[in-house]
Amino acid sequence: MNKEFNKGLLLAGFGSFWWGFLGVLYFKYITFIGHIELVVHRCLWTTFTLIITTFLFSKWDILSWWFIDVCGRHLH
Amino acid sequence: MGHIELVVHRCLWTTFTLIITTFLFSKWYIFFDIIKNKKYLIYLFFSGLLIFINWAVWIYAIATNRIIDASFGYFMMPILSVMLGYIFFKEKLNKKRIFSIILVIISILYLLVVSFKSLPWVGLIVALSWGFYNLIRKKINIDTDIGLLIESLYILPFALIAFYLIASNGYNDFELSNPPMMLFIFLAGPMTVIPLFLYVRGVELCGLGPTGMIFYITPTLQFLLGYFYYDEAFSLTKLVSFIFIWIAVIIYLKDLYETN
Repeated sequence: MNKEFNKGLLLAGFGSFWWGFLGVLYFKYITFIGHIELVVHRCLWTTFTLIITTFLFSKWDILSWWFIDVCGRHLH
Repeated sequence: MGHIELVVHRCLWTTFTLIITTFLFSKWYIFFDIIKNKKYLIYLFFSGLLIFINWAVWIYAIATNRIIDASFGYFMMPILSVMLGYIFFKEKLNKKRIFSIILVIISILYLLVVSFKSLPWVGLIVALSWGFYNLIRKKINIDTDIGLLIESLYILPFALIAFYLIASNGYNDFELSNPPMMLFIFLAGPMTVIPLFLYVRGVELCGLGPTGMIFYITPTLQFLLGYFYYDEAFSLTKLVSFIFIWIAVIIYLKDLYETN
């Protein structure tokens, strides 16, 4: 239990560190391409990455169930 | 990237997405019913719009040397979420949280009155867009990454159109002739998704309270990078407003610590 908790703290800490440090350095460095193009690429490649991760973690079923659930609520 | 090639890419990815969804939904009629029954899809469309605004303004802040301003938004984000939760979901507030909210409001009012020019509007937009984004996502309660995927799919056509316009005017840096640059730009996706996965997993393992406290690593590092590494201007007026925010954060953190 304690081990899991610590692992959670570590992961959240690393996520926050990534947002606050690595993310800033990376996006700051890449702004030479122009911020509009950068926003466009961020959108494009985030979608692409999420499609890959949804495959990797086998989460398509969650997506489909969610859609079916939403649809079902409206149908009934 | 040439016009024709981009159109080909657009067709490919759209087809790819539609094939997957058709397989997953099994029945076409369900798919069309979703399009007809719009309530939840509208929510996700708006949350997609908000996340797009958040990303765009944050990148604008980074590009125009306003990292400190962006960190202002990140510092007030959790407190703003508490306030929105109270307004829209009638969530209970204790004295400490009320005091934190008041301090955040004072900080913004102070800048409005004393020096309108110093108002970190990028930070405010980042915080507000994220606050309302969380509000919508709370209402529809869907897996974080799956929700983001649907939102991204909403944004995708607009992004592709924008990319087409950029490319057609010859301003694009994403070129097949420069694979290292293509790879580097592609990293914008993983750079967005990986920290989200880490944080969400952290929340799953140890709860919202502790991770809520840990989240403050983000604005603190942003602020330090902006001030020390990128030498951004930081006026006395701004310092005063930040002090209000930092006091609000300390009170909020104390409350989080006590309740967890």
